[in-house]
Amino acid sequence: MLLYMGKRCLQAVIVLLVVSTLVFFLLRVVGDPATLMLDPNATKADYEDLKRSLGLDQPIHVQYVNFMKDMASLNLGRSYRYKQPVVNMIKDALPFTLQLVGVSLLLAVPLAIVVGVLAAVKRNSLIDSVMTTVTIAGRSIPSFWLGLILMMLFAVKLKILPPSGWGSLKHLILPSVTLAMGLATSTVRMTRNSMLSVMNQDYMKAAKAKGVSPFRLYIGHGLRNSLIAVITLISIQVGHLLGGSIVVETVFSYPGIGRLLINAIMVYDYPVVQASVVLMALLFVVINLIVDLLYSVIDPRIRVR
Amino acid sequence: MKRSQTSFWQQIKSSRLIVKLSFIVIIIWVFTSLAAPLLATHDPSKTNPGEIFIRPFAKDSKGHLLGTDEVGRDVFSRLVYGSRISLLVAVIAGIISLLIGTSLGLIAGYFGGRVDSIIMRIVDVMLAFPFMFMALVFMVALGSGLRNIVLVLGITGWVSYTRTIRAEVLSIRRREYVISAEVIGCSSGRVIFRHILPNVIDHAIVIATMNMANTILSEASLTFLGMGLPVSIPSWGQMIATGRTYTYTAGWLTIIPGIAIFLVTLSINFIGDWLRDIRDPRLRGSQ
Repeated sequence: MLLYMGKRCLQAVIVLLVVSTLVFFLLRVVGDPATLMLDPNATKADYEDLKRSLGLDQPIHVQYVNFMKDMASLNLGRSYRYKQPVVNMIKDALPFTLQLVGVSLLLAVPLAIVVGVLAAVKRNSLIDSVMTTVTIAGRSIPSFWLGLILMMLFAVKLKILPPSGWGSLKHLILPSVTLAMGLATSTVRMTRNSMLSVMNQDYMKAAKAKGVSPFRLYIGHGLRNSLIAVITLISIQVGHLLGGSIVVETVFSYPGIGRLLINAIMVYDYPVVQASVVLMALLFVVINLIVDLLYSVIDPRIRVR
Repeated sequence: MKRSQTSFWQQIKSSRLIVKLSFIVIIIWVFTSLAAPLLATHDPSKTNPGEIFIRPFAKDSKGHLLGTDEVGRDVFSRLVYGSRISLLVAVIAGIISLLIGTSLGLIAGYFGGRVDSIIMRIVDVMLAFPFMFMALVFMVALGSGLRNIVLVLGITGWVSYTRTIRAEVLSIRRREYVISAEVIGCSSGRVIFRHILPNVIDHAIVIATMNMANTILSEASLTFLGMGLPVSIPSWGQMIATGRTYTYTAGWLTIIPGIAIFLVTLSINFIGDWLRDIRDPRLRGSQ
């Protein structure tokens, strides 16, 4: 077990290293921060000055080592634009994103699992086909559009919810519902499919033959064994949630990491862009790691490996 | 080949109503984008300060069926030309990911060993990096524009192909007909293309369909964020991005292009689901 945990942690660290390298490579090598930051009328001398002040005149491997050192020691530099330490900006924005993602998870997951189990148990019934259609529709709605439509409906027409901003629980409703939509539909689908395949297993037939009550059969025997697949999906979906939060935060002017990132991109604020992207990857990797370790709690068979 | 085509038509005939409707939507979409110059009633980029914010279906619409936007451009014509962009992006980006993903899946599954583990580690990293971030970083590095967004969506979308195709190849690889082909001395290329590829192509088609819907949504999202297509190109995502400023006064500028995106992705997803059910029942998750 310890060996397994150690191995998984090491894997997570490697993934993170590769992601940071990729970010570094794309931003510094494929793109040139200095040209992007200067206005078109700048002279060659301005360009060289800027490069020097950003440390971009050094050989690429020196830059890379510095970048990695800085990331590892959380020395994220100062924002080019706002002149304040990037760490502070991230610290301010992170709780908002975590709140948004957390509320969306709470909204989507329990409801979706219940609906998914129902659809599987009542397979080929009206509720099953309605749910299948709804989940396909949910997958096809552009989330930013859904957000705008909800905003028009509940904030502009009905005036019962604030259109944007932050501060109260009311402000969280529209963004988190928008964000929860995609997660909910894919979770319903996964729960249903996973339940259906579990329900064909011999132990389910045995339990049924033994006369276990339907509730115990579906929840205790069926759902418990389907959960692995569902939880894997959710841990992958957290990545989509984090990505989706960029869009949703932009739609609702919600001050999380996503909006920080987009605003930084617009003004070529490289330290902020780097830090927020690596941070998001870190969050995602950590969540996946936790989920992986959770498996062994849910399914003792995995512990043996 | 002929047999499979006739049966394909029969399968469409016997499909559910919603699938038939989806095919109709897709045909309209493709037709609109091909015949855009004929269908558009106005120049999609021509501004007209005298005719701004005309409501859709208004009595005095002056020929603007779906109204006009904040600078007097015709919404219907922009919608028609926008269908071109979405089709172009979806098809080209789709082909790029299909080619990359399927070849890597075939190689990883067939050769195994070190090649396999290298490819699968790349897949792991791609999966460990939320798509939206990956795409954003790429777009920042390359700059916005039609060519770049197609490239970015193409090179970020191949992972699902590789995973599925590889798993499929692993199971086919040990079948008798593959082994016999190897025994009689077929080259690896011949075994892969003549004996393995035809057996995984259905999987690739199903994933391609599903991916196409996601590509359209991703393009629209990136453009909405200001990181995709430039303002000069009339795309659906761009229409929503600019229309968004006027949600209070001119909601149709947001609603109309959104419906277009929704209808197209919805239809593709319905067709994808249906294709998966008829072509590849195992993917349904249960029997």
